[in-house]
Amino acid sequence: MSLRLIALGLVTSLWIVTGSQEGTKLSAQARGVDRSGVPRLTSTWGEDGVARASNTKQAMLSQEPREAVSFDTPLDAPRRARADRPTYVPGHIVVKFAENVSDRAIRAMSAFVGASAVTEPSYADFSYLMIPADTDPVEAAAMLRGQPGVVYAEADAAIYPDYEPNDPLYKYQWGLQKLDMPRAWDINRGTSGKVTVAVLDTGVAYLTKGAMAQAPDLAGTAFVPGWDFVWNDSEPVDLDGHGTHVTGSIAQTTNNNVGVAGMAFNVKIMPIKVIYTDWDDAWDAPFPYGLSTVARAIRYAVDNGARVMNMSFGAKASNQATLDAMQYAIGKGAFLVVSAGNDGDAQNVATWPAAYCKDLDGAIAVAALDYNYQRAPYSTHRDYVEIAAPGGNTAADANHDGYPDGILQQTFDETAQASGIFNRFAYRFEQGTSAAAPHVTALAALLMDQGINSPVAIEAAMKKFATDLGPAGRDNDTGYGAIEPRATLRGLGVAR
Amino acid sequence: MTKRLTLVVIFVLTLSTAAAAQQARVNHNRTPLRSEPTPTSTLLAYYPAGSALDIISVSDGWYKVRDPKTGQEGYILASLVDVLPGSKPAPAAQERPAPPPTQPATKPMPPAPSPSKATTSPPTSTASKPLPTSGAQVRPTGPAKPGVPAKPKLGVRGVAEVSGAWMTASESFKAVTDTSMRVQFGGGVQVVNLWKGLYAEGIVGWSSLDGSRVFVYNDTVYDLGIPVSITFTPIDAGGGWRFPLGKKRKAHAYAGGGVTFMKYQEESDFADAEDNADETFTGFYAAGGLEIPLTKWLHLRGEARYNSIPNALGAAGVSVDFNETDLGGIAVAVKLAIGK
Repeated sequence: MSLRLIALGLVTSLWIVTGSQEGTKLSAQARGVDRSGVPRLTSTWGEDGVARASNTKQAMLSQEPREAVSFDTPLDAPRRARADRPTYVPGHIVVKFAENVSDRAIRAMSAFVGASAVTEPSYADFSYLMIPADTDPVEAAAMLRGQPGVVYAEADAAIYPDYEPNDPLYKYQWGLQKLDMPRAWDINRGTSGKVTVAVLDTGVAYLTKGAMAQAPDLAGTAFVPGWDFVWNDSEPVDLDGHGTHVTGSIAQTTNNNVGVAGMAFNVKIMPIKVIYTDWDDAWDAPFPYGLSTVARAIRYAVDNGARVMNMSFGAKASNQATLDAMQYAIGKGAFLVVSAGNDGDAQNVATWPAAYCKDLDGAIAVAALDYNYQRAPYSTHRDYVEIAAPGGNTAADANHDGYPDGILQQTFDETAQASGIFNRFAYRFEQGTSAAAPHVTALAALLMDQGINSPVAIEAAMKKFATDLGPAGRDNDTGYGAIEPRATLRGLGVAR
Repeated sequence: MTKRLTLVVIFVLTLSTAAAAQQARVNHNRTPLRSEPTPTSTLLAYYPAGSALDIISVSDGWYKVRDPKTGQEGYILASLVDVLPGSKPAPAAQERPAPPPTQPATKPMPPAPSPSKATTSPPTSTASKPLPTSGAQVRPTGPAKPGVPAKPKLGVRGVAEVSGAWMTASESFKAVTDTSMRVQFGGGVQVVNLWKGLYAEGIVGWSSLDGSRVFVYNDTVYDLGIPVSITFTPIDAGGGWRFPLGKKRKAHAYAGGGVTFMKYQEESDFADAEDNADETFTGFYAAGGLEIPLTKWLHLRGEARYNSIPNALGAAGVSVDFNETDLGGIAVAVKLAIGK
């Protein structure tokens, strides 16, 4: 069976948020939901005999860009642990002097606390006494309090917002909010740079070259070299959009005032193309293989430093090579995340490699949750389901934000992609276990960064801290329950 | 009635004779010898520490003594001298209790002073001179325990201690703090000689450990690098019994126990209020040790202590993983007690 069809089947309905690369103007248009797969491409490129280069993909990469792509320099606020945060800003204290106090008295009081200067800020009825940085501002303020001519004297309380990304479309990312990611990001944003996540998918729009462009909201995302196992080259670009959307959920450039947020936005992404899609078919990609390609990719990824792998795809048959590769990768310290499949409201058939996860510690099969944290109707519910994460339900708008409850990330503008144009992007609500798995992948990467360096332990930690849903204990709908990033990252003390 | 009177007379005579046969060694420099058994009476002389004096008689907290070198007699405060253990009691003392008058023939020697002690304790002086007070009749330290001059008095002490505790929940604390041992500082009050050897105490302790939060799986501890600060504030309230040791009876062994109220606080970074622990648990302790006087006012105690605070752990945290519920442990403490 063609892997392509199965992979595409995991991407179900798409809602397009207009394709402006600036990503600030939204307009959604609903389309019919067809979870059997995205509509077949209607492009004439493959059907009417448009001339193909011997390697059309490389021809695309060598073309002149059709449209300039630009994006802002990404911002990334440095992580600062709460433990390091002083309560008060050092270097000055805030003093309000009585109106009748003399300059001489102010000078005397300044000298009393070792202040080097007194400044009068605008829009204020108080003064700043600039004290040495190593002077305790609380103590300095206390020394002045009660002195004649001092109305009040106080240390200046430092302001710390809870981390909330400034990406304008973050408000539509209900999945990250339900996962309480702002508080989880207080603990870890993956900034150590230690963890590489391999995205085994349709490729990623990570590269701006020729007619191909990097997704603007991946501009600040760190990429390490990957491989295209479909075209057998080192430029695993996306010709479909699925892998780009999945990658966005994991590591979309975040806090850059553009578009949306990713969940582990400081990890390094290793793009690996294993899924053979319609344009690959249209352009006669040389290796239209199946799960064995995945087996190769798993080995490649772990041998090149990937510690977490996302596999948002499935096949309806098993493959020993893939199982062997999974065991190999886990043995070398990689954690594997596999989508459970989108056949839950049909035959509910098993898919692989998800079905392997049941017997592999270090690989986990992920079910999809809707906004109400119920199993999404399409999410396959079989005995190999181990964990659940937001995957969306584009048939509902339970949060009443005016948009379908899909998972919002940037990927190709659908119309452009259908026409073979790969440098126009849109923010799209998608649903599927494909969209759920990246949340688990991102959590695994953060856990690796936090110090749980064993894939077996990561799986155990996710299960231990998961919020049990449905019947008590593991069940086929949601496994051990919904992932709890904050609790899992925080781990345990002696009594709490 | 006559018999009883005779017995009393013999007993009194025996007591005074036994005291007269003893020697005292001055244990403080510039110990005053006074004309009367009162601290305000005329000062006759000072004696340096180590001076030996013959005890003529005992009074209420005072000895009437004679300087064997000068022959000067006077009164000296009992607590400023030690009764020499080597000073041999008079034969009368050895024959205590005094035999009933109906069997005098069974005694190998008459109740008379030893010839060797005659010069230091003439029987005539004690026999002809009544004791200054009736204290000789009730003196518990006289014939029964000639080395202890007075009944132990109630003493109040301030106590400072340092202890090392090996906690029962060793695996849990090792996982989070890398150690299952903590050093505790404490202080409190101790009252001794409440009744005989009975003492009571109240000690407040403080101890802290730092570590970081972890995940434990298959006995492997994964350090998550999130700082944890743990504070122990136990209050021990209890008591015990002190047993005097040795001939001087100044060192004591003791054993006791009581109730422990343990305030346990565990705080970590990135925590909401409900993520931290701040609870007080109740348990018990049992302790035993040795007390040695360093000076009159300073006592050194070496103590071993067992503490159990059940069901304080095991509801959350790694203590669940290790199935450890007790917050107590075994401790070794060094204490300094200041006071009598």
